[in-house]
Amino acid sequence: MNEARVIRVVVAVVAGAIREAGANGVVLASSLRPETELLERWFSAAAITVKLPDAEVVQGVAKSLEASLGGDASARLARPSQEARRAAARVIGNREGLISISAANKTELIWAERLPPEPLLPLGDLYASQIHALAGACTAPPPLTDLEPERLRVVDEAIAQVVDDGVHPDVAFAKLPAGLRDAAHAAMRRSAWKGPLPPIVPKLGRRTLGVDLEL
Amino acid sequence: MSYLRVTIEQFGPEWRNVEANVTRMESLVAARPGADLIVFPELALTGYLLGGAAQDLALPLSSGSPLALEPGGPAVAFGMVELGSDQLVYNTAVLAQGGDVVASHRKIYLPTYGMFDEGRLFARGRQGVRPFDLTPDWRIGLLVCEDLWHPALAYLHAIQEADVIVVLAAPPGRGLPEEGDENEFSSTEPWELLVRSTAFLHGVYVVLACRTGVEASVMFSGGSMVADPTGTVVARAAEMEDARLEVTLDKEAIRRARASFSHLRDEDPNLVQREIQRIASRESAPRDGPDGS
Repeated sequence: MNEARVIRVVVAVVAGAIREAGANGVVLASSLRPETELLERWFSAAAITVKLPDAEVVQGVAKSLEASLGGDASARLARPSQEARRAAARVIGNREGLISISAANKTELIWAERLPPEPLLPLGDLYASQIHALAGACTAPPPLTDLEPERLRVVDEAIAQVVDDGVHPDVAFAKLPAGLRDAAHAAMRRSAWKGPLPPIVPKLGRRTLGVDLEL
Repeated sequence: MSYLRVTIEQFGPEWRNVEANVTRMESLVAARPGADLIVFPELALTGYLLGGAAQDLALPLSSGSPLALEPGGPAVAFGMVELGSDQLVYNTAVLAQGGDVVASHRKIYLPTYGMFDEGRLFARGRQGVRPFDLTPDWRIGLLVCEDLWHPALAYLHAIQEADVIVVLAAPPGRGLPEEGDENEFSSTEPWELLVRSTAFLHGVYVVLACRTGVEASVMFSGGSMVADPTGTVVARAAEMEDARLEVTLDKEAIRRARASFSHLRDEDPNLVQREIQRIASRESAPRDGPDGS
Protein backbone atom coordinates (compact mmCIF):
# COMPACT_ATOMS: atom_id res chain seq x y z
CA MET A 1 0.00 0.00 0.00
CA ASN A 2 1.20 3.47 -0.86
CA GLU A 3 1.30 5.18 2.54
CA ALA A 4 2.11 8.60 1.14
CA ARG A 5 -1.01 8.56 -0.98
CA VAL A 6 -3.18 7.36 1.92
CA ILE A 7 -1.85 10.19 4.06
CA ARG A 8 -2.45 12.70 1.29
CA VAL A 9 -6.11 11.74 0.86
CA VAL A 10 -6.87 11.49 4.58
CA VAL A 11 -5.17 14.79 5.38
CA ALA A 12 -6.85 16.57 2.45
CA VAL A 13 -10.33 15.34 3.44
CA VAL A 14 -9.85 16.23 7.10
CA ALA A 15 -8.45 19.66 6.20
CA GLY A 16 -11.48 20.18 3.94
CA ALA A 17 -13.86 19.20 6.74
CA ILE A 18 -12.15 21.60 9.13
CA ARG A 19 -12.35 24.39 6.57
CA GLU A 20 -16.02 23.71 5.76
CA ALA A 21 -16.94 23.66 9.46
CA GLY A 22 -14.92 26.78 10.25
CA ALA A 23 -13.16 24.73 12.95
CA ASN A 24 -9.65 25.04 14.32
CA GLY A 25 -8.61 21.42 14.22
CA VAL A 26 -9.65 18.02 15.55
CA VAL A 27 -9.87 16.24 18.88
CA LEU A 28 -9.52 12.46 19.11
CA ALA A 29 -12.52 10.89 20.76
CA SER A 30 -11.09 7.38 20.85
CA SER A 31 -8.09 5.89 22.58
CA LEU A 32 -7.37 3.18 20.05
CA ARG A 33 -3.72 2.41 19.54
CA PRO A 34 -1.98 2.58 17.11
CA GLU A 35 -4.70 4.35 15.13
CA THR A 36 -4.62 7.51 17.22
CA GLU A 37 -0.83 7.60 17.01
CA LEU A 38 -0.99 7.33 13.24
CA LEU A 39 -3.45 10.19 13.04
CA GLU A 40 -1.46 12.35 15.44
CA ARG A 41 1.63 11.81 13.32
CA TRP A 42 -0.12 12.48 10.00
CA PHE A 43 -1.99 15.55 11.20
CA SER A 44 0.96 17.07 13.03
CA ALA A 45 3.09 16.73 9.89
CA ALA A 46 0.35 18.56 7.97
CA ALA A 47 0.09 21.34 10.58
CA ILE A 48 -3.45 20.28 11.50
CA THR A 49 -4.18 20.92 15.16
CA VAL A 50 -4.92 17.59 16.84
CA LYS A 51 -5.70 17.22 20.51
CA LEU A 52 -6.22 14.33 22.85
CA PRO A 53 -8.42 14.78 25.91
CA ASP A 54 -6.06 14.67 28.87
CA ALA A 55 -6.53 11.98 31.47
CA GLU A 56 -7.67 14.44 34.12
CA VAL A 57 -10.56 15.69 32.02
CA VAL A 58 -11.57 12.14 31.07
CA GLN A 59 -11.55 11.10 34.74
CA GLY A 60 -13.63 14.13 35.64
CA VAL A 61 -16.19 13.31 32.97
CA ALA A 62 -16.20 9.65 34.08
CA LYS A 63 -17.01 10.75 37.62
CA SER A 64 -19.79 12.98 36.35
CA LEU A 65 -21.20 10.08 34.36
CA GLU A 66 -21.10 7.82 37.38
CA ALA A 67 -22.77 10.47 39.49
CA SER A 68 -25.51 11.11 36.92
CA LEU A 69 -26.12 7.37 36.51
CA GLY A 70 -26.25 6.78 40.25
CA GLY A 71 -22.86 5.06 40.44
CA ASP A 72 -24.08 2.50 37.93
CA ALA A 73 -22.20 3.67 34.84
CA SER A 74 -20.50 0.31 34.27
CA ALA A 75 -23.83 -1.42 34.10
CA ARG A 76 -25.50 1.22 31.96
CA LEU A 77 -22.76 1.93 29.42
CA ALA A 78 -21.09 -0.66 27.21
CA ARG A 79 -17.66 0.95 27.55
CA PRO A 80 -17.74 3.59 30.28
CA SER A 81 -14.15 4.76 29.79
CA GLN A 82 -14.71 5.15 26.05
CA GLU A 83 -17.94 7.06 26.64
CA ALA A 84 -16.17 9.32 29.15
CA ARG A 85 -13.40 9.98 26.65
CA ARG A 86 -15.95 10.68 23.93
CA ALA A 87 -17.82 13.13 26.14
CA ALA A 88 -14.55 14.79 27.17
CA ALA A 89 -13.59 15.19 23.51
CA ARG A 90 -16.94 16.81 22.85
CA VAL A 91 -16.43 19.25 25.72
CA ILE A 92 -12.96 20.17 24.49
CA GLY A 93 -14.20 20.36 20.92
CA ASN A 94 -16.98 22.76 21.83
CA ARG A 95 -14.65 24.89 23.91
CA GLU A 96 -11.82 25.11 21.37
CA GLY A 97 -13.64 24.80 18.07
CA LEU A 98 -12.36 21.32 17.27
CA ILE A 99 -14.14 18.53 15.40
CA SER A 100 -14.44 15.28 17.36
CA ILE A 101 -13.04 12.41 15.35
CA SER A 102 -13.12 8.67 15.82
CA ALA A 103 -10.09 6.56 14.91
CA ALA A 104 -12.25 3.51 14.12
CA ASN A 105 -11.11 1.54 11.08
CA LYS A 106 -13.28 -0.11 8.45
CA THR A 107 -13.09 -3.54 10.08
CA GLU A 108 -14.38 -2.10 13.33
CA LEU A 109 -17.18 -0.20 11.61
CA ILE A 110 -18.38 -3.32 9.83
CA TRP A 111 -18.21 -5.62 12.85
CA ALA A 112 -19.54 -3.14 15.41
CA GLU A 113 -23.03 -3.34 16.88
CA ARG A 114 -23.18 0.46 16.90
CA LEU A 115 -21.36 3.07 14.89
CA PRO A 116 -19.36 5.83 16.54
CA PRO A 117 -21.27 9.12 16.70
CA GLU A 118 -18.32 11.32 15.68
CA PRO A 119 -18.83 13.24 12.45
CA LEU A 120 -15.43 12.44 11.02
CA LEU A 121 -13.86 8.98 10.63
CA PRO A 122 -10.46 9.53 9.01
CA LEU A 123 -9.51 5.83 9.00
CA GLY A 124 -12.97 4.55 8.17
CA ASP A 125 -11.99 3.27 4.73
CA LEU A 126 -8.93 1.31 5.86
CA TYR A 127 -9.33 -2.25 7.06
CA ALA A 128 -7.59 -3.24 10.30
CA SER A 129 -5.05 -5.31 8.37
CA GLN A 130 -4.25 -2.26 6.23
CA ILE A 131 -3.66 -0.28 9.43
CA HIS A 132 -1.38 -3.11 10.50
CA ALA A 133 0.56 -2.78 7.27
CA LEU A 134 1.00 0.93 7.91
CA ALA A 135 1.67 0.89 11.65
CA GLY A 136 2.84 -2.61 12.53
CA ALA A 137 -0.19 -3.08 14.78
CA CYS A 138 -3.92 -2.41 14.70
CA THR A 139 -7.15 -2.53 16.63
CA ALA A 140 -9.54 -5.31 15.62
CA PRO A 141 -13.00 -5.81 17.08
CA PRO A 142 -14.25 -8.99 18.72
CA PRO A 143 -14.08 -11.78 17.61
CA LEU A 144 -11.03 -10.76 15.59
CA THR A 145 -9.16 -9.07 18.43
CA ASP A 146 -6.59 -11.78 19.06
CA LEU A 147 -6.15 -13.08 15.53
CA GLU A 148 -2.66 -13.36 14.10
CA PRO A 149 -2.06 -10.58 11.55
CA GLU A 150 -2.06 -13.03 8.63
CA ARG A 151 -5.39 -14.54 9.68
CA LEU A 152 -6.84 -11.07 10.23
CA ARG A 153 -5.76 -10.16 6.71
CA VAL A 154 -7.56 -13.23 5.33
CA VAL A 155 -10.75 -12.26 7.16
CA ASP A 156 -10.50 -8.64 6.02
CA GLU A 157 -9.98 -9.73 2.43
CA ALA A 158 -13.04 -11.97 2.59
CA ILE A 159 -15.10 -9.10 4.01
CA ALA A 160 -13.71 -6.75 1.36
CA GLN A 161 -14.77 -9.15 -1.37
CA VAL A 162 -18.34 -8.79 -0.17
CA VAL A 163 -18.35 -5.09 0.70
CA ASP A 164 -16.08 -3.71 -2.01
CA ASP A 165 -16.43 -6.20 -4.85
CA GLY A 166 -19.99 -7.50 -4.47
CA VAL A 167 -19.04 -11.18 -4.10
CA HIS A 168 -21.75 -13.29 -2.44
CA PRO A 169 -20.94 -13.91 1.26
CA ASP A 170 -21.32 -17.68 0.83
CA VAL A 171 -18.53 -17.62 -1.72
CA ALA A 172 -16.30 -15.08 0.00
CA PHE A 173 -16.50 -16.70 3.43
CA ALA A 174 -16.20 -20.33 2.29
CA LYS A 175 -12.51 -20.47 3.16
CA LEU A 176 -12.90 -19.03 6.68
CA PRO A 177 -12.92 -21.33 9.74
CA ALA A 178 -16.45 -22.25 10.78
CA GLY A 179 -16.67 -20.00 13.85
CA LEU A 180 -15.39 -16.96 12.02
CA ARG A 181 -17.55 -17.76 9.01
CA ASP A 182 -20.70 -17.59 11.12
CA ALA A 183 -19.54 -14.39 12.77
CA ALA A 184 -18.76 -12.87 9.39
CA HIS A 185 -22.22 -13.74 8.10
CA ALA A 186 -23.71 -12.14 11.21
CA ALA A 187 -21.66 -8.98 10.62
CA MET A 188 -22.92 -8.82 7.05
CA ARG A 189 -26.50 -9.17 8.22
CA ARG A 190 -26.20 -6.27 10.62
CA SER A 191 -27.34 -3.16 8.87
CA ALA A 192 -25.68 -0.33 10.78
CA TRP A 193 -22.79 0.04 8.34
CA LYS A 194 -24.90 -0.26 5.21
CA GLY A 195 -26.86 2.94 5.45
CA PRO A 196 -25.92 6.51 4.65
CA LEU A 197 -23.64 7.49 7.50
CA PRO A 198 -23.51 11.11 8.57
CA PRO A 199 -19.73 11.09 9.11
CA ILE A 200 -17.12 12.04 6.60
CA VAL A 201 -14.98 9.08 5.65
CA PRO A 202 -11.98 9.83 3.41
CA LYS A 203 -12.54 7.72 0.33
CA LEU A 204 -9.66 5.33 -0.30
CA GLY A 205 -11.18 2.05 -1.45
CA ARG A 206 -13.61 1.14 -4.17
CA ARG A 207 -16.69 1.25 -1.95
CA THR A 208 -16.65 3.43 1.11
CA LEU A 209 -19.02 3.11 4.03
CA GLY A 210 -21.36 6.05 4.10
CA VAL A 211 -20.27 7.26 0.67
CA ASP A 212 -21.25 4.44 -1.63
CA LEU A 213 -24.74 3.92 -0.43
CA GLU A 214 -25.68 0.85 -2.41
CA LEU A 215 -24.10 -1.73 -0.14
CA MET B 1 -2.06 22.11 -42.27
CA SER B 2 -4.55 22.82 -39.53
CA TYR B 3 -3.84 22.84 -35.88
CA LEU B 4 -5.95 23.39 -32.78
CA ARG B 5 -4.20 24.60 -29.64
CA VAL B 6 -6.02 23.10 -26.67
CA THR B 7 -5.43 23.89 -23.01
CA ILE B 8 -6.92 21.81 -20.21
CA GLU B 9 -7.20 23.64 -16.90
CA GLN B 10 -7.37 20.89 -14.28
CA PHE B 11 -8.43 22.47 -11.02
CA GLY B 12 -10.58 22.07 -7.93
CA PRO B 13 -13.55 24.43 -7.94
CA GLU B 14 -14.56 26.08 -4.72
CA TRP B 15 -17.48 24.09 -3.46
CA ARG B 16 -20.80 25.85 -4.21
CA ASN B 17 -19.11 29.21 -4.79
CA VAL B 18 -19.96 30.30 -8.34
CA GLU B 19 -18.56 33.80 -7.95
CA ALA B 20 -15.13 32.62 -6.81
CA ASN B 21 -14.97 29.98 -9.54
CA VAL B 22 -15.99 32.42 -12.27
CA THR B 23 -13.30 34.85 -11.15
CA ARG B 24 -10.65 32.15 -11.09
CA MET B 25 -11.66 30.71 -14.46
CA GLU B 26 -11.72 34.13 -16.12
CA SER B 27 -8.20 34.83 -14.89
CA LEU B 28 -6.99 31.43 -16.11
CA VAL B 29 -8.51 32.14 -19.53
CA ALA B 30 -6.95 35.60 -19.64
CA ALA B 31 -3.55 34.04 -18.99
CA ARG B 32 -3.77 31.85 -22.11
CA PRO B 33 -4.57 34.19 -24.98
CA GLY B 34 -2.80 31.95 -27.51
CA ALA B 35 -5.06 28.98 -27.02
CA ASP B 36 -7.85 28.15 -29.46
CA LEU B 37 -9.82 26.12 -26.92
CA ILE B 38 -9.58 26.05 -23.14
CA VAL B 39 -11.31 23.20 -21.35
CA PHE B 40 -12.41 23.17 -17.72
CA PRO B 41 -13.89 20.15 -15.89
CA GLU B 42 -17.48 19.11 -15.22
CA LEU B 43 -19.42 21.45 -12.93
CA ALA B 44 -16.43 23.79 -12.74
CA LEU B 45 -18.69 26.67 -11.73
CA THR B 46 -20.16 24.97 -8.68
CA GLY B 47 -18.35 21.86 -7.54
CA TYR B 48 -19.86 18.41 -7.72
CA LEU B 49 -21.61 17.32 -4.51
CA LEU B 50 -24.44 19.82 -4.66
CA GLY B 51 -27.45 18.13 -3.11
CA GLY B 52 -30.42 20.47 -3.03
CA ALA B 53 -28.12 23.44 -3.72
CA ALA B 54 -28.11 22.41 -7.39
CA GLN B 55 -31.44 24.23 -7.73
CA ASP B 56 -30.05 27.42 -6.20
CA LEU B 57 -26.85 27.41 -8.24
CA ALA B 58 -28.48 26.86 -11.62
CA LEU B 59 -28.01 29.61 -14.21
CA PRO B 60 -29.83 30.13 -17.48
CA LEU B 61 -27.87 30.26 -20.71
CA SER B 62 -30.43 32.49 -22.41
CA SER B 63 -28.58 35.62 -21.33
CA GLY B 64 -25.18 34.38 -22.53
CA SER B 65 -22.12 32.89 -20.97
CA PRO B 66 -21.66 33.16 -17.19
CA LEU B 67 -17.97 33.78 -17.94
CA ALA B 68 -17.08 37.25 -19.17
CA LEU B 69 -14.74 36.43 -22.07
CA GLU B 70 -12.89 38.76 -24.38
CA PRO B 71 -14.26 38.87 -27.95
CA GLY B 72 -11.85 37.14 -30.27
CA GLY B 73 -10.27 35.22 -27.41
CA PRO B 74 -10.16 31.46 -27.00
CA ALA B 75 -13.28 29.33 -27.00
CA VAL B 76 -13.90 27.99 -23.50
CA ALA B 77 -15.60 24.73 -22.54
CA PHE B 78 -16.76 24.39 -18.95
CA GLY B 79 -19.31 22.58 -16.83
CA MET B 80 -22.14 24.23 -14.96
CA VAL B 81 -25.63 23.71 -13.60
CA GLU B 82 -27.97 25.03 -16.25
CA LEU B 83 -31.47 26.25 -15.59
CA GLY B 84 -33.34 25.31 -18.76
CA SER B 85 -36.19 27.27 -20.25
CA ASP B 86 -38.34 24.36 -19.06
CA GLN B 87 -37.28 25.35 -15.50
CA LEU B 88 -35.45 22.07 -15.02
CA VAL B 89 -31.80 21.92 -14.01
CA TYR B 90 -29.20 20.14 -16.11
CA ASN B 91 -25.57 19.13 -15.71
CA THR B 92 -24.34 20.91 -18.80
CA ALA B 93 -21.13 21.33 -20.78
CA VAL B 94 -21.01 24.79 -22.31
CA LEU B 95 -18.83 26.05 -25.13
CA ALA B 96 -18.55 29.83 -24.99
CA GLN B 97 -16.78 32.36 -27.16
CA GLY B 98 -16.73 36.00 -26.20
CA GLY B 99 -19.98 36.52 -24.35
CA ASP B 100 -21.86 33.98 -26.41
CA VAL B 101 -22.76 30.39 -25.76
CA VAL B 102 -21.99 28.76 -29.08
CA ALA B 103 -22.79 25.17 -28.12
CA SER B 104 -23.88 23.13 -25.15
CA HIS B 105 -24.46 19.51 -24.24
CA ARG B 106 -26.72 18.44 -21.42
CA LYS B 107 -25.39 15.32 -19.70
CA ILE B 108 -27.47 12.38 -20.84
CA TYR B 109 -26.34 9.56 -18.59
CA LEU B 110 -26.68 10.70 -14.98
CA PRO B 111 -25.00 8.21 -12.66
CA THR B 112 -27.31 7.30 -9.80
CA TYR B 113 -25.61 4.40 -8.06
CA GLY B 114 -23.03 3.93 -5.34
CA MET B 115 -21.87 7.39 -4.30
CA PHE B 116 -23.52 9.08 -7.28
CA ASP B 117 -26.83 10.83 -6.91
CA GLU B 118 -27.17 12.81 -10.14
CA GLY B 119 -30.49 11.31 -11.22
CA ARG B 120 -32.07 12.95 -8.19
CA LEU B 121 -30.50 16.34 -8.83
CA PHE B 122 -30.58 16.84 -12.57
CA ALA B 123 -32.88 16.30 -15.49
CA ARG B 124 -31.59 14.04 -18.22
CA GLY B 125 -30.36 15.78 -21.35
CA ARG B 126 -32.73 15.13 -24.21
CA GLN B 127 -31.30 17.40 -26.86
CA GLY B 128 -29.33 14.61 -28.48
CA VAL B 129 -25.72 14.54 -29.53
CA ARG B 130 -24.65 17.33 -31.89
CA PRO B 131 -21.05 18.25 -32.64
CA PHE B 132 -20.22 21.88 -33.29
CA ASP B 133 -17.92 23.55 -35.83
CA LEU B 134 -15.51 25.53 -33.70
CA THR B 135 -13.59 26.52 -36.85
CA PRO B 136 -14.07 25.53 -40.48
CA ASP B 137 -11.51 22.75 -39.89
CA TRP B 138 -12.35 21.56 -36.40
CA ARG B 139 -15.63 19.99 -35.35
CA ILE B 140 -15.99 19.47 -31.60
CA GLY B 141 -18.23 16.98 -29.81
CA LEU B 142 -18.99 17.60 -26.13
CA LEU B 143 -19.71 14.89 -23.56
CA VAL B 144 -19.93 14.99 -19.78
CA CYS B 145 -18.20 12.33 -17.66
CA GLU B 146 -20.50 9.27 -17.52
CA ASP B 147 -21.55 9.93 -21.12
CA LEU B 148 -18.18 8.54 -22.21
CA TRP B 149 -18.99 5.23 -20.52
CA HIS B 150 -21.88 4.80 -22.97
CA PRO B 151 -20.09 4.24 -26.27
CA ALA B 152 -23.08 5.08 -28.44
CA LEU B 153 -22.62 8.78 -27.68
CA ALA B 154 -19.01 8.95 -28.88
CA TYR B 155 -20.12 6.94 -31.91
CA LEU B 156 -22.86 9.47 -32.66
CA HIS B 157 -20.32 12.30 -32.52
CA ALA B 158 -17.91 10.37 -34.73
CA ILE B 159 -20.41 9.61 -37.51
CA GLN B 160 -21.30 13.30 -37.52
CA GLU B 161 -17.67 13.98 -38.35
CA ALA B 162 -16.41 15.23 -35.03
CA ASP B 163 -12.64 15.62 -35.02
CA VAL B 164 -12.33 16.02 -31.28
CA ILE B 165 -14.46 14.61 -28.47
CA VAL B 166 -14.12 16.85 -25.43
CA VAL B 167 -15.12 15.19 -22.18
CA LEU B 168 -15.66 17.25 -19.03
CA ALA B 169 -15.37 15.01 -16.00
CA ALA B 170 -15.28 14.89 -12.20
CA PRO B 171 -13.99 11.41 -11.41
CA PRO B 172 -13.74 10.60 -7.70
CA GLY B 173 -10.41 8.99 -6.84
CA ARG B 174 -11.12 5.39 -5.91
CA GLY B 175 -9.15 2.29 -5.10
CA LEU B 176 -5.79 1.89 -3.44
CA PRO B 177 -3.15 0.91 -5.95
CA GLU B 178 -0.20 -1.13 -4.78
CA GLU B 179 3.21 0.32 -4.10
CA GLY B 180 4.94 0.96 -7.41
CA ASP B 181 1.74 1.28 -9.46
CA GLU B 182 1.89 4.14 -11.90
CA ASN B 183 -1.47 5.69 -11.02
CA GLU B 184 -2.36 7.30 -7.72
CA PHE B 185 -5.88 5.86 -7.90
CA SER B 186 -6.85 2.56 -9.49
CA SER B 187 -9.95 4.34 -10.89
CA THR B 188 -7.70 6.22 -13.33
CA GLU B 189 -7.00 3.07 -15.32
CA PRO B 190 -10.54 2.56 -16.71
CA TRP B 191 -10.63 6.22 -17.70
CA GLU B 192 -7.46 5.81 -19.71
CA LEU B 193 -8.88 2.68 -21.30
CA LEU B 194 -12.02 4.57 -22.33
CA VAL B 195 -10.16 7.59 -23.66
CA ARG B 196 -7.69 5.52 -25.67
CA SER B 197 -10.22 3.08 -27.10
CA THR B 198 -12.67 5.85 -28.05
CA ALA B 199 -9.91 7.76 -29.83
CA PHE B 200 -8.62 4.68 -31.60
CA LEU B 201 -11.97 3.24 -32.66
CA HIS B 202 -13.19 6.47 -34.22
CA GLY B 203 -9.89 8.04 -35.30
CA VAL B 204 -10.56 11.18 -33.28
CA TYR B 205 -8.78 13.13 -30.60
CA VAL B 206 -10.25 12.68 -27.13
CA VAL B 207 -9.66 15.48 -24.63
CA LEU B 208 -10.52 14.52 -21.04
CA ALA B 209 -10.58 17.38 -18.50
CA CYS B 210 -10.82 16.12 -14.91
CA ARG B 211 -11.20 18.06 -11.72
CA THR B 212 -9.22 17.88 -8.50
CA GLY B 213 -9.95 19.01 -4.96
CA VAL B 214 -11.90 17.63 -2.03
CA GLU B 215 -15.60 17.71 -1.24
CA ALA B 216 -16.78 15.95 1.94
CA SER B 217 -15.32 12.42 1.79
CA VAL B 218 -14.20 12.53 -1.79
CA MET B 219 -10.90 13.55 -3.33
CA PHE B 220 -11.32 14.04 -7.06
CA SER B 221 -8.56 12.35 -8.96
CA GLY B 222 -7.38 14.75 -11.65
CA GLY B 223 -5.37 12.84 -14.24
CA SER B 224 -6.66 14.75 -17.28
CA MET B 225 -5.36 13.41 -20.57
CA VAL B 226 -5.43 13.72 -24.33
CA ALA B 227 -5.35 10.76 -26.70
CA ASP B 228 -4.53 11.15 -30.37
CA PRO B 229 -6.43 9.38 -33.18
CA THR B 230 -4.20 6.32 -32.88
CA GLY B 231 -5.28 5.87 -29.26
CA THR B 232 -1.96 7.02 -27.84
CA VAL B 233 -2.02 9.25 -24.77
CA VAL B 234 -0.06 12.30 -25.89
CA ALA B 235 -0.46 14.37 -22.73
CA ARG B 236 -1.35 13.54 -19.17
CA ALA B 237 -1.74 15.69 -16.06
CA ALA B 238 -0.70 14.59 -12.61
CA GLU B 239 -3.32 13.15 -10.30
CA MET B 240 -4.49 14.86 -7.10
CA GLU B 241 -3.21 18.33 -7.95
CA ASP B 242 -4.09 21.29 -10.13
CA ALA B 243 -2.36 21.26 -13.49
CA ARG B 244 -2.41 22.76 -16.96
CA LEU B 245 -2.05 20.67 -20.09
CA GLU B 246 -1.27 22.34 -23.41
CA VAL B 247 -1.54 20.24 -26.54
CA THR B 248 -1.58 21.11 -30.22
CA LEU B 249 -3.95 18.89 -32.17
CA ASP B 250 -3.01 18.21 -35.79
CA LYS B 251 -5.64 17.54 -38.43
CA GLU B 252 -3.06 15.62 -40.40
CA ALA B 253 -2.83 13.10 -37.55
CA ILE B 254 -6.53 12.36 -38.03
CA ARG B 255 -6.01 11.77 -41.75
CA ARG B 256 -3.07 9.45 -41.11
CA ALA B 257 -4.96 7.46 -38.48
CA ARG B 258 -7.96 7.03 -40.76
CA ALA B 259 -5.73 5.99 -43.64
CA SER B 260 -4.22 3.23 -41.53
CA PHE B 261 -7.45 2.06 -39.93
CA SER B 262 -10.59 2.74 -41.92
CA HIS B 263 -13.10 1.93 -39.20
CA LEU B 264 -14.90 5.23 -39.54
CA ARG B 265 -14.93 5.08 -43.36
CA ASP B 266 -16.57 1.65 -43.26
CA GLU B 267 -19.03 2.54 -40.51
CA ASP B 268 -22.65 1.92 -41.52
CA PRO B 269 -25.14 4.00 -39.51
CA ASN B 270 -28.01 2.64 -41.63
CA LEU B 271 -27.23 -0.89 -40.51
CA VAL B 272 -27.12 0.29 -36.90
CA GLN B 273 -30.40 2.15 -37.34
CA ARG B 274 -32.14 -0.90 -38.83
CA GLU B 275 -30.89 -3.15 -36.08
CA ILE B 276 -31.83 -0.71 -33.35
CA GLN B 277 -35.31 -0.37 -34.83
CA ARG B 278 -35.66 -4.16 -34.98
CA ILE B 279 -34.47 -4.57 -31.40
CA ALA B 280 -36.62 -1.70 -30.16
CA SER B 281 -39.74 -3.10 -31.83
CA ARG B 282 -39.01 -6.53 -30.35
CA GLU B 283 -38.53 -4.97 -26.92
CA SER B 284 -41.85 -3.18 -27.12
CA ALA B 285 -43.69 -6.32 -28.22
CA PRO B 286 -45.05 -8.79 -25.65
CA ARG B 287 -42.41 -11.43 -24.97
CA ASP B 288 -44.86 -14.25 -24.44
CA GLY B 289 -46.95 -15.74 -27.21
CA PRO B 290 -50.73 -16.12 -26.93
CA ASP B 291 -50.29 -19.48 -25.23
CA GLY B 292 -47.75 -18.05 -22.81
CA SER B 293 -44.85 -19.81 -24.53
